Amino acid sequence: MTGDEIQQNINRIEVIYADFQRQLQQLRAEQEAIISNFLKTLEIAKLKELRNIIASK
Amino acid sequence: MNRVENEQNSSRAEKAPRKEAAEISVVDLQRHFENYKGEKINAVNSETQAALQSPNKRFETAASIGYTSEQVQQFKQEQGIDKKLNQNRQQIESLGINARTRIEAVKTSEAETETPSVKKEKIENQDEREKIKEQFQEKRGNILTNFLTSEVTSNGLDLVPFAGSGKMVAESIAGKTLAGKRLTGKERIIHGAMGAGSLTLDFIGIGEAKSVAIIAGKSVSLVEKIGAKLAAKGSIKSARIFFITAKFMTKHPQLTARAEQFAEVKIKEKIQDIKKYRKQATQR
Repeated sequence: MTGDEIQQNINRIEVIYADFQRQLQQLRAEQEAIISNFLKTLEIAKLKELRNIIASK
Repeated sequence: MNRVENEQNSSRAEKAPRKEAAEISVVDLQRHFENYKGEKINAVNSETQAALQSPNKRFETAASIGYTSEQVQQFKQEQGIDKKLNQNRQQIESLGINARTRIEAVKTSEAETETPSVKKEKIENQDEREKIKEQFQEKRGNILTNFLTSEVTSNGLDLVPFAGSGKMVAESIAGKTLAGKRLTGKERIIHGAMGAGSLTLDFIGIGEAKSVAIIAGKSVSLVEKIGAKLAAKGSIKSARIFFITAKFMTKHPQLTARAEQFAEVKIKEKIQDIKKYRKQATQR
């Protein structure tokens, strides 16, 4: 195998890795959106709970 | 040792270190490649793991709002968060596996790339190519049928390779040339066989005709196929002529075989001329 072919293979790996990172970033963003929305719901529920406690006193 | 030999020896001696240097640099590159590949596989593994563990850490922050882990778990189940996160987790896992497999598949030597799966892929590619070739031939067959059913009957058609082939077949079937010259039985078959052979060249691609039999044993089926195509297009009269000609050729196998043999030699002689003609035509 020549130096050029090895360089081409290195480039191929670079492309695969870049593609992996791009897709992973996307999936992590989706994951983050699911968790953030859930935590926000929890926060709102807690605030409502506190408001009810304050209102009842 | 004379002067010339001395010069040759010194030249060899100069070339040797250069070759060695080139080999060393390729070896270095291969080592660099292996290191790079290992690094990237490790990076894929660690990034995949980090992404998979990320939700657990984030849910820990729910404790700061004032929820116990049991309460968080209950909310998660109620809102189908686990299901959504499981889907996301599976996608991340398969993405990691896929990237790792693809990186591992990039090899340093050509011999290593010849794995059974690569060989299988090559065979599948060959099958795919054959299918595409067949589809292409089918399209060309339709073009021919369209040509034969059109009203193009110029005397100059012999000069146009593809159309010329069709014209020759048509003339052999009609029993006379477009110029009105009657063809004898043998001439008719030879003319038809030449045309059919020329058509076959068009069907299989002019460049591949060198090593294969061009017309031998093929003219009858070709004429039949053209007839079937014409019949399908509604040109019953023309189709009938094709079928009768095919029948005549089948009834006289020796005559057909001799005609084919003669046509085969003649066509092969003409291939180079046709190639030159086509080359010139495309350069114009």
